[in-house]
Amino acid sequence: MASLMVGVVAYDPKVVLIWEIIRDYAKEKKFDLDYVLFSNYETQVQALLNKKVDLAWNTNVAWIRTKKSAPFAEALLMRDTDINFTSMFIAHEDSNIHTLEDIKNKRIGFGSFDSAQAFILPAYYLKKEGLEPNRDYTMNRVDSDLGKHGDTGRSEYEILEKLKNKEYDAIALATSTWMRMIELGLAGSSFRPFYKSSGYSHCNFTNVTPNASYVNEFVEFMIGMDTKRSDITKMMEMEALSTWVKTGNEELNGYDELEKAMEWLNLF
Amino acid sequence: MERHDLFLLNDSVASFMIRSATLTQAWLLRLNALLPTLRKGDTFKVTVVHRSVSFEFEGWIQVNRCSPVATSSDLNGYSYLVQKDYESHILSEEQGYDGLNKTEPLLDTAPKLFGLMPRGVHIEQSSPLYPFELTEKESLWAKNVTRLYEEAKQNQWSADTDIEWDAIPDLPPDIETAIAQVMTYLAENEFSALYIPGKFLSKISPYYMELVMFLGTIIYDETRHIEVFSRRANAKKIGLQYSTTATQRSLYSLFIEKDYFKTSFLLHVLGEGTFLDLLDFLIKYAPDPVTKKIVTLAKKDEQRHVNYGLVHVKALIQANPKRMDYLKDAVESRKAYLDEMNQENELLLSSLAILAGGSDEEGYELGYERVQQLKKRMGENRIRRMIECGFDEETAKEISMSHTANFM
Repeated sequence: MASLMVGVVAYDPKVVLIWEIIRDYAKEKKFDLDYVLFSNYETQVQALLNKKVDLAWNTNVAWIRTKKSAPFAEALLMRDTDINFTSMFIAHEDSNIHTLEDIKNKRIGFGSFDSAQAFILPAYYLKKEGLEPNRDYTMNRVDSDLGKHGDTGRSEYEILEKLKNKEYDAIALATSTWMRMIELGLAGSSFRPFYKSSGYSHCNFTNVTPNASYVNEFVEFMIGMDTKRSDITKMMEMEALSTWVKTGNEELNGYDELEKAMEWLNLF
Repeated sequence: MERHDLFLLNDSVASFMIRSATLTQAWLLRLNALLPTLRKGDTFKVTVVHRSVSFEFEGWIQVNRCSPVATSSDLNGYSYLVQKDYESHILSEEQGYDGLNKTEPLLDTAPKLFGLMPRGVHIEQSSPLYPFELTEKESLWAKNVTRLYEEAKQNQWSADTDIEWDAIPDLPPDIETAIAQVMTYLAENEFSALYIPGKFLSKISPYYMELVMFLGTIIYDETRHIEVFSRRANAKKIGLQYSTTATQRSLYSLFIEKDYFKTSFLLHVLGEGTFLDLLDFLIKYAPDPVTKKIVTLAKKDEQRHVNYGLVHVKALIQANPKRMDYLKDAVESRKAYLDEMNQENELLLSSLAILAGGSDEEGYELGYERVQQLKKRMGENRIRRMIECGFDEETAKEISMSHTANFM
């Protein structure tokens, strides 16, 4: 039997460590699984659609794109931390921004244009409030690590720097990134969060082959991981999850706004 | 129940009021450090004064796998009743070592995730798995080990200040040579008694920390013995004498033993037990008070090591008498190896005879006779110790006969 091939994007060296642990564990459990690294999500989605890989570990943006080309695509599994993912807006205290309305005529900094958390969704949240880019506010973007869909978080750190230098009045980023920034001492006392989004769904394992026999096996294998083992807990810590969760309807609904946002921004 | 009524339930573990205008690094540390101390389902209250911090705190809740059980806002700010949704630690129900000789490990097997830590700590679930091989209480523990550890602490002595090195008299050369040879032999054997516990120490789960600490004292005891025996041999011009293949083969056959229980029996009960008689002999026949004191002090230490072995082996045999055969096999397979050549260290025996009788013909004959009596006494005491461990007399006699002629 050929190995079940999972595509993963190498956004960080730890991706290899994570997948080596999963592969070793699979070997031990006699589950025939291997992984293929991609440098970006666009290539990975293409490889999935062309059946070069059986499954792909996709960002939400990659998932929406996959579904656009393959309407029968299914999201199988996510990290618990992929559910209710949120973004924030952070203002500089001197910019006098306290609510979303206050951003009128202000300079707003976003992350990479393929980052759901730092650009696509935050810009869409403003639009939903009737705030159009470059009419009601100035839209600025730092596009770094394109193709990685914001996984590296680099653009978020770069816009933070610009906020610090008052090149921007406010910025958008993922809540988890902001927590990390506070921890690292990067969030100085002059920053004022003024908005936190409601939850949306982040990554998932995507399948495009209808009725594939490996789907259930894969899901059962991942969910059945022995979380008492230190190699598994180490992997889960690196991958930032405490448990794998099957993607249900509620989780799928968590992608709806992103799809609308990507349509609005012509990101297909 | 109304959601805000939940705040009135006063069972939350902690309560914080965050007045700062941002969620500072310090507050983040304080909140993060609270989490390990909470159980899954525990709640805590946080009130934040500034709206901006409320966004951050809600983010913190989400990122840290907690959930808001209730929220409210009023003039004081924004209040949250937060629940921790996961279990981060395995809680210990034990207090651990307290220096009062009152605690003992409760578990028959050390917890799987037990790493380099004292017994009684709460272990984080993501702690790495150490490959400790010796994790069963039965195979390690002896009831007297904590007491022996306390005794070891109280009876420490110094190779520098407790021995009057300058007071060693000039002895006749053949007597000094005999002493130097005996000391050479003793130091070789002490290396064995140092390395063997050392070899097993790193395999024992720290959960059985009193044993680990006791083995630590054994290691230092043996270190001190190696020092004093070497120093005594080198105290005069004659210096360290000859190592023998007979002794080295005997020590080697013990060194390669992989089983802790077998080793404990071979080393502490049979080897060091036999050494007690040898040290008694030297206390009696050492030609000068300094050497007498060295062996007297060393014997006190060795007695503790033997006492551990006796209680350890006794408990294991009581639990399963078939283990006697297992130990007998260990002694016999060692004997089979040693039988390949003459096992006695003749240099040692001759030196002991000189010390016990003298180097002239008549004295040497007397000394020889005394060494023969020593060997007989060693055999009898070995049997007595084994019987104390629960052996039947017949098996004890057979084992004693098969014990190495090198004594250790």
